[in-house]
Amino acid sequence: MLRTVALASLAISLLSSGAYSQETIQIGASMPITGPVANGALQEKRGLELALEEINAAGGVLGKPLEILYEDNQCNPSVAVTVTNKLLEAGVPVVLGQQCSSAVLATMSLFQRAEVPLVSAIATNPKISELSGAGGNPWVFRLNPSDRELAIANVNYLVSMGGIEKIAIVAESTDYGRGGADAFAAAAKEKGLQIVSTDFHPLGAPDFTTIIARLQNNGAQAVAFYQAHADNANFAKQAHSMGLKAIMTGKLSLDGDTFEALIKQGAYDNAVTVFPYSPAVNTPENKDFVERIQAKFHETASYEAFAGYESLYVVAQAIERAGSADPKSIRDALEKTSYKSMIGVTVNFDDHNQAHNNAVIITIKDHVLCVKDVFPTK
Amino acid sequence: MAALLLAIFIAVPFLTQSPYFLTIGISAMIFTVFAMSLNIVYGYAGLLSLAQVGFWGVGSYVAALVVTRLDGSIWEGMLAAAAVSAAGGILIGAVALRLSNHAFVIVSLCFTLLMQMLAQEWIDLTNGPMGIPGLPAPGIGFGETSFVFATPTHFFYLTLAFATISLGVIWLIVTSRIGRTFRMIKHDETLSCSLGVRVTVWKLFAIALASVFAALSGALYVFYVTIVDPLIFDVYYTQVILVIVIIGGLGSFWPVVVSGLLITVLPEILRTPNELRMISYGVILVLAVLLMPTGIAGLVNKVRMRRPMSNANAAESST
Amino acid sequence: MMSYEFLMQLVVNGIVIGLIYGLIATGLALLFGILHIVNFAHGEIVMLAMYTLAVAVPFLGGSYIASFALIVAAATMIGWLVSGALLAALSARRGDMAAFEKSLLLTLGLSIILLNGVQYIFTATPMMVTTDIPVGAFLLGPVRLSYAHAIAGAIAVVVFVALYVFLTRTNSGRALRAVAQNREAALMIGLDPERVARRAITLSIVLCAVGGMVLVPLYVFQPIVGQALLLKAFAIVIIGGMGNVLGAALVALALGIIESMVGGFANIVWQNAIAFIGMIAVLLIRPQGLFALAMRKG
Repeated sequence: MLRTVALASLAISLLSSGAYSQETIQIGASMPITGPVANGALQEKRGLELALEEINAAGGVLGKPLEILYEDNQCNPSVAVTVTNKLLEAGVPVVLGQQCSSAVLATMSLFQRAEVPLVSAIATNPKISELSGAGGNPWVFRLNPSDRELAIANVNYLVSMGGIEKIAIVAESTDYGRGGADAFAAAAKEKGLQIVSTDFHPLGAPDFTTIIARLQNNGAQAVAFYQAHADNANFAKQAHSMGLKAIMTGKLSLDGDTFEALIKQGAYDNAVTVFPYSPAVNTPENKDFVERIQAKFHETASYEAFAGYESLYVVAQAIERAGSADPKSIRDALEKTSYKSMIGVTVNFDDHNQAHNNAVIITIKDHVLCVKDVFPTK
Repeated sequence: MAALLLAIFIAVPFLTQSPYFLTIGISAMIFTVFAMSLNIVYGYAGLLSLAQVGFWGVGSYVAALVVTRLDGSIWEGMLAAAAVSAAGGILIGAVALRLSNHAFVIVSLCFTLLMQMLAQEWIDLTNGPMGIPGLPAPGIGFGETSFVFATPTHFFYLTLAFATISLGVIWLIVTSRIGRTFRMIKHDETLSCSLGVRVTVWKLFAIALASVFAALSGALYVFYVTIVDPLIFDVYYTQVILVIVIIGGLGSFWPVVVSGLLITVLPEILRTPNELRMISYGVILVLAVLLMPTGIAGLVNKVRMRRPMSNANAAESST
Repeated sequence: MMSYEFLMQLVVNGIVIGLIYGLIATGLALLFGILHIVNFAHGEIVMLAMYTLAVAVPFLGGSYIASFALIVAAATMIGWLVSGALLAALSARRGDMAAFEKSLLLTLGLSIILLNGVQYIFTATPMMVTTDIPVGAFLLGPVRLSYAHAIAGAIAVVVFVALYVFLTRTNSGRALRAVAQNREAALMIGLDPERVARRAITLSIVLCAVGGMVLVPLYVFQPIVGQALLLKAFAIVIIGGMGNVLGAALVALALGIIESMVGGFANIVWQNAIAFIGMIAVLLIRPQGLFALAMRKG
């Protein structure tokens, strides 16, 4: 039986080396295709697919079409390690994603060991850029702003509204949630705001009734959230039906059908969030992108779709500049990235391989979402 | 049988250097030892235990913590893992065996869940859902020279050595008087009692033995994947080892080894998508319980029974 | 910070959740009490009912009650069919597995199939169902009770009253209790054990389905929702005394309230630990369960 294993291995490795490497450039993508954050992967995939279609229609990269190898990391650190190894063993010269901070943090050393670049476009834990680039792991790049920058902007805006002194934090118990909660608490302390409670809950918790009852009673005027989108939708729904008065803030993803419905019901009234993206950002490129996503997938573009779309373009341009699909050359080319983002800024990586794209301040008044400001995160 | 399997496994890295196939081989061997640990307590001693995954997880965490927090070597980590798990097993067993065998099943399940909850919530110790990433590759040092099992091929041979020694030890035990005592207790507890067998002590011994091998295989596994997180307690592992043991045949040795290798290797070769693979495990489990609860071992015995009694010692070696 | 309103709010929230735990746990207790079997697919039945409701609601114009009634009817029918198949499977004489062990392995296999099957069809993306139950809450004295919680609580109470009446006032219900209390005696007085068993299984499945459906307006759920609920149900059944239906219902209610209190006054992470801590305490101090007469040696 094991002889068949060995034979099959030979056959498959011959097949794969013969069939693909000549014709396409394969790029790895690791994302939480299943599990509590699955919707994020679905959205990111939309962005990637749209960008892939456009790039290949325009003749591909270095004259070859791109191809994306997807792997499901389930937003879980150990699964992420397994599937990342799978991608690296398949010989992809660059990997996109991971999406979840815990998955990025768990796999960063693998990329360094294999000397293959990782381009992360969604994970927001501040530690990722602290560990990347100069003096750290030169193989990891991050396109999106970290939660530290967003939290500072968020707190500044809350202060400018006046009257908010007591804030509660509700976050998932992951590197994303804990990193975000720490960043927010630090920013709030800086401005003299009081954190009245911090609750960590498991990813995918079904019921928030108890936390809501507590928040109704501890004097919190605003609640800062660092949760998976689905968890936040659930929280908003339950808080709305229990009549929680505190303003919702922190990281709120407000795009897509689920959130549009909740906003319409008034579940997010008076919410304030600082977020890396909104489909409502008023640039011609973004309007156009939102239309193309709508036409292809019949839903409003979300942050993950935007991030997926731009990350593939950044990588494609790096490969083009590198002149070869070799990991080392791609890494060097990535360092020199200069990409005009659809939301207005030209994106470059700093010496921690951290890009400083714009972020968006969004408020919701009377069931209507409104982009208050688009500002640089540098 | 043993020599043949060993020879084939030694040959594998000469035939393929593909990390993918070596990984399949490594996990096949680890899971076979892990499944055999369930076979000791369930197949031989008759105690259906859902705590094996608990011990496998505890073993992984203990080994990972010894290495990352106490700067120990992986070998010290594995030693500690085995010791902690054996102690834990005896404790659980002592509590649960005061009750019925039904309660033992539930208690063993609860032990696993409790351990998973600790791994998730005791952030200071276990780093919670974020897990402990970046576990170093195991190494051996002899004075000046040291050797690190860094490549998949090295790890393959390390695992092969581990599996050979573990299965060898288990084989010696289950074919000895101890194994026969386990089976007698499983078969008729009351009779064993009246023959002066100290049933509870033997049961505790089976539980401890099983927990040691579960812990060792778990520890080795996380050092191969280089990370441990609360998912190590996933019910998925319970399902896999249950399927392996039942397909092999409860209380049989070689058939369980064969089924362990089959069940872990086949889905990889067939590249079955995750959910379909799980569904097929479920279907296999249901069908096996309904149609062939004695597993491969039962089939083999049936075939032997039809033939004249020419091969009596072969039947002995298959158990 | 600690106010009377807050306390009452936690109690009321806890009662609603406790009642739902009760629906799910009593189903498990019935199976154990009457058939001496365990159902690892119990949580998946809850989950299946939730997904079926999610599919049915849009078809029935968003009507929660219509979908609810339809699924209860369907669950009863399916339950009756499944019970026949399950009993046949358990009584088949192959190998030397006891019924308990066989039921455990079979239902474990079934739970894997259902969980991954639903995950394959619906993916693990969380499901939020919009029904015609109004959003919002009303004031009940000092306490805010959302309409969804109120309806869930009301349905659970109605089902418990019906269950009580069934078990104490009807012949088939009395037969169930008789078998649970003393199997041999019940057989001697001529009760048909297979019929009783099938009723118990069907009832257990219907209770599960109701438990799942009342959760739909309260939870955003994924295919794994059943696993966490099953574990709590196990804990409840063990604390209450394996097979004791009333015990399970009371423990479930208490667990809901205690969880709510712990979440409200201590750290939220302790909420899920309560059931297990309780179970371990019971196993150490009173292994037969709080309400059990005696533990049958299995």
